[in-house]
Amino acid sequence: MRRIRSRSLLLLFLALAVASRAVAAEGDTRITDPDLLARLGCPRDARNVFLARGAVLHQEASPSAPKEFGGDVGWTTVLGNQHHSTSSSFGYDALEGSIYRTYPGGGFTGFDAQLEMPGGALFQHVTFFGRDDNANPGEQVRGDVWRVCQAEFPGVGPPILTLLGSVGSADTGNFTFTVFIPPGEVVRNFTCGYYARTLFSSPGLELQLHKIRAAWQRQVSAAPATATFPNDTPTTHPYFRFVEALAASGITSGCGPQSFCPNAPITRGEMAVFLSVALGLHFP
Amino acid sequence: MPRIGSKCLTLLVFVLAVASRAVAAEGDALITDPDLLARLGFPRDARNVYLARGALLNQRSLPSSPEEFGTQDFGWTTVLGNQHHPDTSSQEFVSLGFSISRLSGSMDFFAQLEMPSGALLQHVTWFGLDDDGNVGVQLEGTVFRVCQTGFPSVGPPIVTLLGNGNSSSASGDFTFVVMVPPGEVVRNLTCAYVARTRLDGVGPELQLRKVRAGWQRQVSPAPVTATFPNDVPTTHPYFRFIEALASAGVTAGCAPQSFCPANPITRGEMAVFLSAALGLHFPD
Repeated sequence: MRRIRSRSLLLLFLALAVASRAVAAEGDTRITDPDLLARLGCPRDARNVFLARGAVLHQEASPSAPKEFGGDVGWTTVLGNQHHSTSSSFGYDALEGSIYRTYPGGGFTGFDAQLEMPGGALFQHVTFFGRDDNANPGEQVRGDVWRVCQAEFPGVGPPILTLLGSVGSADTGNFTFTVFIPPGEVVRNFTCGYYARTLFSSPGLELQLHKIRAAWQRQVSAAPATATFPNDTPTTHPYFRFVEALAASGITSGCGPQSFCPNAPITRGEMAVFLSVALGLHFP
Repeated sequence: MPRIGSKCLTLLVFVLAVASRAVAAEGDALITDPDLLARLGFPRDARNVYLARGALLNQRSLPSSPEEFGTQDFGWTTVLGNQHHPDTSSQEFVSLGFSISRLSGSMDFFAQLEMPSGALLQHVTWFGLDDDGNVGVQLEGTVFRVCQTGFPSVGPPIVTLLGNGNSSSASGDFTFVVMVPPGEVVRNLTCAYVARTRLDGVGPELQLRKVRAGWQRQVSPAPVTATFPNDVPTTHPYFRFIEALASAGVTAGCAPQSFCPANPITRGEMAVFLSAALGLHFPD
């Protein structure tokens, strides 16, 4: 079960990557299984969802292993009971991890959760976990993912709200659905914040939000235009991008004026300086 | 645009450093521009705010590149308005998009600031809207540290006010910055940090949009005794950094009481250091 789930999630990524291309590439495989399409968050009759060639080679990036460093996917989970009601007039109740609406009125009421992710990471998708056990047809739960940015210098700007994705569910029983974030969404914690809003159409225990989970991936930022160490690590050097990333983070200032000495061997002592500065290590 | 922003933020930090000193040092520049003073969170007629000498040299600390590692750049912890907790269940609030606003009563909102242990807490910025036409303090922000020891005996929580600020006019979209006294090291074992926002007005014209803490990783100062006295005594140039690695459990040295700081490192040793430092792991 776990394996299957992890593989599906992987497919999600790749399928989306392909769907966002104008045309499928040679070797891509069309997905036609309505159940799989639904699980991927696509319409059951979607016609242009493809599994990218080579996708299954990536099974090791298992979402069941919550790695947070390196190139693997990291996860930010917010349990249902950690969500905030959008208004004090909308009643709710929490059960262990879950939350449900008690407000008897009509319309949708919302629960908000902020998604904390590492600055510079690529934001991939948000999965909503819940239960829809009432007999009502139609959309009972909707999940929206928002980005909010506001600049304060040189002048205070108005907040800019962007809906990154929205998915509704009319499933029965325990469900998940996934909101895919448009490709290339880089987490900017200085100016922006990210949150998910889950909207419930009706009150009662039959409709619960269990949790939401955001997926993100660390990345080394793109190479800058100019070199910090032009003497030996010019823009054409194969490690240019990585050396610049270290310099920009204050982890190295080089080995001499405008030089990094990329080919010099490193001692254990130097390694200690690099690592402790990079991670900001400290004593009790 | 990002350039200007980064410079301003750097100024903030240095300006406070100076303001908190009794006397400005030689070479510091007096800031008299009322607009700049207001933007920095000072009264428009403040007379003793200085730009520290050399402050402009620090432009690399680009807040527009939200890097979180290394000891040079800032990391950011943002809590959106809709993630704040009202101080009492008897008062009414509503979130407008991601902002939060009071519907009745006198009301405080709280947000916890989660930051890496050992980092330096620098400042907290408030973002909001004050459009109600009233003069005087409409929105006040305060940063608290709350510490409590659990061992060997349980102590009472000790609440310390680290700083406060406010929006003091009907100014539309605003920000103000609360500078935390220099040297505030995040201690997650015994302490937690909270931002309190007091809204002195009701209605959508007065909104709390978000609070954002700026922090900086650091390598803690050198300890008194050496873990590897044979070859890394307290006088060794890398003593502080090697101790940080040992204290974090990343290295146990190369032999009893030795670290072999001058030995070259192999790719294999590098793999051990990196995976131990980052806590890397495999899929289940």
